[in-house]
Amino acid sequence: MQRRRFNQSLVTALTSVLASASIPHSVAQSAPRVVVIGGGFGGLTVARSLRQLLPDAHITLVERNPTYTACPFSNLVVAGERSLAKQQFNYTVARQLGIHVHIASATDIDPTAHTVTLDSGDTLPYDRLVVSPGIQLNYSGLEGYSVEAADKMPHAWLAGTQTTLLAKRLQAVPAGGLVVIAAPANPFRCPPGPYERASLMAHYLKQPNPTAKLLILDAKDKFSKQPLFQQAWQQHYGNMIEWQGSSDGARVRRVDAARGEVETDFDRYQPDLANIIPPQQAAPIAQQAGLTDASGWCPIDAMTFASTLQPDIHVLGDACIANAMPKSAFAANAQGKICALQIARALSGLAPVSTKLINTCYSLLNPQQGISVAGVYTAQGQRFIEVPGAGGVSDPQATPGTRQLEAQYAYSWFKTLTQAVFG
Amino acid sequence: MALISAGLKAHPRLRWQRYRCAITLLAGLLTGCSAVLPGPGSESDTEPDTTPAATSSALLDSTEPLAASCGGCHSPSSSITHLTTLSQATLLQQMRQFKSDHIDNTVMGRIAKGYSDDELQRLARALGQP
Repeated sequence: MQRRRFNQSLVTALTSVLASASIPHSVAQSAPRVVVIGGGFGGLTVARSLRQLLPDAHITLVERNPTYTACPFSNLVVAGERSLAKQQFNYTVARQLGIHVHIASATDIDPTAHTVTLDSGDTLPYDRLVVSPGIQLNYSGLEGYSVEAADKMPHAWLAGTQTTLLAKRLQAVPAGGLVVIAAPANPFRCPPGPYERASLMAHYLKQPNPTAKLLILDAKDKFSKQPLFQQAWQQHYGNMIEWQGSSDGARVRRVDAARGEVETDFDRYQPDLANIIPPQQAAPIAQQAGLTDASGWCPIDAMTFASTLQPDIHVLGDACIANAMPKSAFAANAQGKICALQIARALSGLAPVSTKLINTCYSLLNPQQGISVAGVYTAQGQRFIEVPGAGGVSDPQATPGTRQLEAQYAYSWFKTLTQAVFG
Repeated sequence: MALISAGLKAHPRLRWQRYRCAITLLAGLLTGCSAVLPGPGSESDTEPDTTPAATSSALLDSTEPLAASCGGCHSPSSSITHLTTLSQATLLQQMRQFKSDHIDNTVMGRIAKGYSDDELQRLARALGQP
């Protein structure tokens, strides 16, 4: 009770301060309004966490698709080991929790007026805006690649019809055929993803098509969990998977979808299936709102996720520049909880808190065996740094039993995360 | 710093949050299980509207941000250990053993090494049973 009396006297003092401060009338008279753009692992986590932290706040979620299709585990769909339906979630629970869900595209953000315009014609005013829109594919970053070209040379890097298209095309690869996977330069969504995909594609091909070949043409010289993947490829798939890096001249610089050609710095291929994962950048709304820098991604203050370019807007998940922290669903979920806490604190007159975040990315080598990379991160200045001495990848000498355990943890993680966010 | 200090203006209509609510919320929010919260129309609604935001500091201050990431993997429905069933002492002991590689494990050793002993104690307090 002592504490409460203290708080109430603080309240009185604060009320008089606020009365004299120049707070817009509309803000002072209503519950705080938070708008979240993007109903993925980052955005929906922010909305749900804020719902708990600030029960009186008016929280609005803007999401383009009524059904969310998750990217993690979509490589199992490509390999014919999982149905796309198991990747799909909706916003029923979010609505039940009192989050106002708009199925619409955000077409404009006015940082001065503090409004978001939707393609439905609605305009949403906000006190704080959270932008977690994910990625867009940078088609202009790869000559010859386009939305149309992706019908012939699927990227399957935005889960959905592209995922099932790639699965179908994999099944149609002729005996002894060539599959090319073009992997982009950093940064991009899901750094170990192209290599998990190669593993699971090889797992699929191994039975019906053991003489087929998978060639990874990489725009970089090293990749996530590289020694572990390469060890596993040799062990499980013999010489089926070959990787070439940019020093080998393997960067894909041009594709010709009509001719089915993939051209690198040194070579030209005509594969039976080309899976082109193009360069990426923050989704269009982030570009439109002036939240991106020259890199195409959104610079933020690592402690609060506040945009360093626009006031009262926070950016998280794949679209933000989180430095050492990778673009993953795990990271977006962890960031979402901290972003919500920092927003709740700011709206409550409290200073941001310093903390640490974890990322763990599991990759499947085949449906029964997995590996992981983990890291612990903290804000240093405006940047995320990895806490030294922690993190790293699975033990290269681990037993098959441990690899199986990591695969089980991967499945368990997906269930836990999707339940926490969508369920 | 301009961005941070701009955030310090308290929103005037955030209501009083009860201290006990903080404890219930803590484990729920941070580990991903659902917490029992006062919903609309519950007694928290009878608190005066004029109470400004500063008083919600109890809830926010008791929310252990270090524990936020743990719920990514650990939940009641998961085959991975459900943390909130463990005592604080057991939890702390296990995290220390992960950190010093005294337990054979997959990923927890790599993660536990990112925290000081003081931080492991904070995590145990936030997640374990008293």
